[in-house]
Amino acid sequence: MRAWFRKSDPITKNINGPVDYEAAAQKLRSFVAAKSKFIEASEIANETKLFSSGLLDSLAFIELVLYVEKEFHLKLADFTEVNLNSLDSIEQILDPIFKRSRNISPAS
Amino acid sequence: MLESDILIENVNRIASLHSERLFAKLLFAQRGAINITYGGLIERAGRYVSMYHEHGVRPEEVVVIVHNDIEQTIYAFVGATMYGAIPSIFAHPSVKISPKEYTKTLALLLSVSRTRFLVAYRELHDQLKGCIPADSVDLMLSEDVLAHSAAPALPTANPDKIVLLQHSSGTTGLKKGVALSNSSVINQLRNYASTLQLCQCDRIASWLPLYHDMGLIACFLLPLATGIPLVLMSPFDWIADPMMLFRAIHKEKCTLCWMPNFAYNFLAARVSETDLADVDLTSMRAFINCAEPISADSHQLFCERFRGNGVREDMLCTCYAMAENTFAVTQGGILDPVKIETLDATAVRNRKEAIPANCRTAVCQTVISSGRAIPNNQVRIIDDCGNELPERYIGEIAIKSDSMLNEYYNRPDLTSQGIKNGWYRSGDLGYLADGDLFVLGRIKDLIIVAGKNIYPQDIEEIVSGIEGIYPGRVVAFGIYDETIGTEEVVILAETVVERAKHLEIKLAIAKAVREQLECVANDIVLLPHMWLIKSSSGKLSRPGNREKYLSELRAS
Repeated sequence: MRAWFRKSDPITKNINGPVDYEAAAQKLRSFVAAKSKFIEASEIANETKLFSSGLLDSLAFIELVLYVEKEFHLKLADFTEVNLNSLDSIEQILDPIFKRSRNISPAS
Repeated sequence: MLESDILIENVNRIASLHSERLFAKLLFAQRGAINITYGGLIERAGRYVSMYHEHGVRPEEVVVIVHNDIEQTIYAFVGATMYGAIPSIFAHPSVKISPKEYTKTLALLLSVSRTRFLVAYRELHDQLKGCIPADSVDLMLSEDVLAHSAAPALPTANPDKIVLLQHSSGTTGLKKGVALSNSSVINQLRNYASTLQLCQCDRIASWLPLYHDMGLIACFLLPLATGIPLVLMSPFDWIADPMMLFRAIHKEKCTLCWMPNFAYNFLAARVSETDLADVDLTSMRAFINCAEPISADSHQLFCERFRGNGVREDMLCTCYAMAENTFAVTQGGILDPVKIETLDATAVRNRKEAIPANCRTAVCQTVISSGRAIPNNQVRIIDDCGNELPERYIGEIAIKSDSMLNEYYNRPDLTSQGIKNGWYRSGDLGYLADGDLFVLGRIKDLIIVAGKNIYPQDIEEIVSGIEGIYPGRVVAFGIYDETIGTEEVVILAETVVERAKHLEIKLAIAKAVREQLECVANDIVLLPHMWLIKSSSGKLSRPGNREKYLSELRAS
C-alpha cells in the first residue's frame, strides 16, 4: 500500500519464515514490553491489543514492523495489510505468516 | 512579493500574471503526485465559492474544514478566503480517536466558532450522521463540489477583518480559536520572508499538517502568497515512509523545511543506509526546528547521520513561534550559526539566572538559541508581576508585534487575560542574551509530544473517572526522552485495588487516554493511597511528583 511497506521481490522472498510460533510470540512479547514501561512480557497475551489499547503509539508501530521484518527475514506486506488495525495483536501479526509458511513449506 | 495587505489579493495577482506557475506539488503514497498551478487553484477554489454561496454562508462567517485529503483542504480553504468567509482547518479523525470523542470535540469546535458550516468528506459525513443534531451543522461534501462551476472571488475587504482562525490548543474543555486579521497574516509573512531572505529560487518541502500553525503559515500561506513553490505530503504518509521527505528534497531541489524536534531524531533513527545511497540534500538552505523544545543533541544527531548526503551544521536553524503571533517571533541560523550556551545548572534552578559555566567545575546544562526577534517583533522577559527583567535573568517570555491575534474568537475574557498593554504573555520561560532568545521550558505544566500539546489536567480528569482510581489522586507530566527527541507521558495514580487487578486498570487508563486525547501514555504507575505529594498550596504537585517519580520509581 505504501512505498515503504513494499512487498519483496519474488527472488529474495523468504518462504521459510519463523519456525516456532511460541518462540516468535515470545520475541514479540519482549519487544512490546521494552517499548511500554507499564507492562511485563508475561502480562502480554497473544490476543492483547497493542495499538487500539493505547499500549503503543504509531512510532512504535513502525519500529515493530521493522523488527518483525528483520527478525524473521520477511516482508509483512507479503502476508497481510500493514496498518494499525491489521497488526493490532501478536496473533494478528503471526497468524498470517504461519498460515502462509505452512502452505508453502511442504511443497518447496 | 506580498504587494497587497489582503491575503487573497496576493494570490489573485500571481494567478492573473502567471496562471501556469506552480503553486504546489502534492505527493501521495498511493496516488503519485499532483501539480497545482495558480490558475488551477483559483478555478478549483472557485467551485467552493459557489458551493458556499449556495449553502447561504455569509461573508465573515466561519467555515470549518475537516478533510483527509490535502488537495481538497487547500481548495476549500482558498475558496473560503475568496468568498470572504473565515476558514478554520481542524484535524480529521485518526484511527486512534474514538468516533464518539471526535464528534464531541467537533461539535464543541463548531459551537465556539459560532458556525454550522462544515466542509467534510463522505466517510465523515456518515460517521457524524445522528451524532450531531442536524440543525447545528450544515455539511458540505467535497464530493459535491464538482457539480458547481467556479465563481470569482468576492470583492474584499478590510485589512483589519478576520481572515482565518487557527485552533490554538487548549484543554479539552476550553478550545479557543485564534482569530487573525489580513494585516496580521500579511505582516507576519512580510516580516518572516525578509528574515528568511526568501527569494524565487526557494522551494519549500513539508509533511506538516495544515491544522497546525507551522504547517498552515510557514508551509502553506507563505508559499501561497509569495509564489514560492511548495512540495507537500501528508503527515500520515510521511510517518509510514520517512524517506519520502528526503526523496522530495532531492528530486525537487528544495531549500527550506520546517519540522518539530522529534522529527530530527525520528529521521536519524528510521532512514536506512540503502535508502540514503543516492539522496542529495545539498540544495537545502535551512531545516528549521520549531514547535517544541529544541535540543542541540537532536541537531548534532541529524547532522552526523546525514552529513554524507550534504547536511551541514549551518543548515540547522531554530525558530520560536506561536499561533497567537500568527507564527514566528524569533528566527536563528539564517545568517549566523545558531548559538549554543552552557549554563551553570544550579544558578538556573536556584537564582533564575543564566550564567555561562565551565563543565569541568560546575553542573551544567546546554541550551540552544531560538534566534533573534524578526522585524516588527519585540521580545521581553518579565517577572511574576509583569516587570521587565534584565539580560540573562529567567522569566516569562512576552511578545509584542504587528502580527498578533485580533482576539480569541468570541472569547473577550480570554483575550483580555492573554494580552496586557499590547504585550502577549506566552506562558514560556526563557532569557535574553545579546539579542538572542533562549527558551527553557514552560510556566504551565504543559506536555508537548511530537509537537502536539497535551494538558495534564485533561489526562488527570480522564484517569480520575476510571474505576478503581481514587478520584482526584492522579498526576500526569512529561519527561523529555533524548533518544526520541520529545517528551514521554507519565501518569501516576493512587488506588486501593488489589495488585492482581492492576494490569487491567492500567490498560483501561491507556485505552481511555488514547481514545479521548489521541495520546499514548508511556508509563502508568499505580500507587498506594497518600503516595502523591502536595505543594504548599495544598494541590497535588506535578513538578514535586515528577521529582519523586524520577528518584524513587525510575531510578530503581
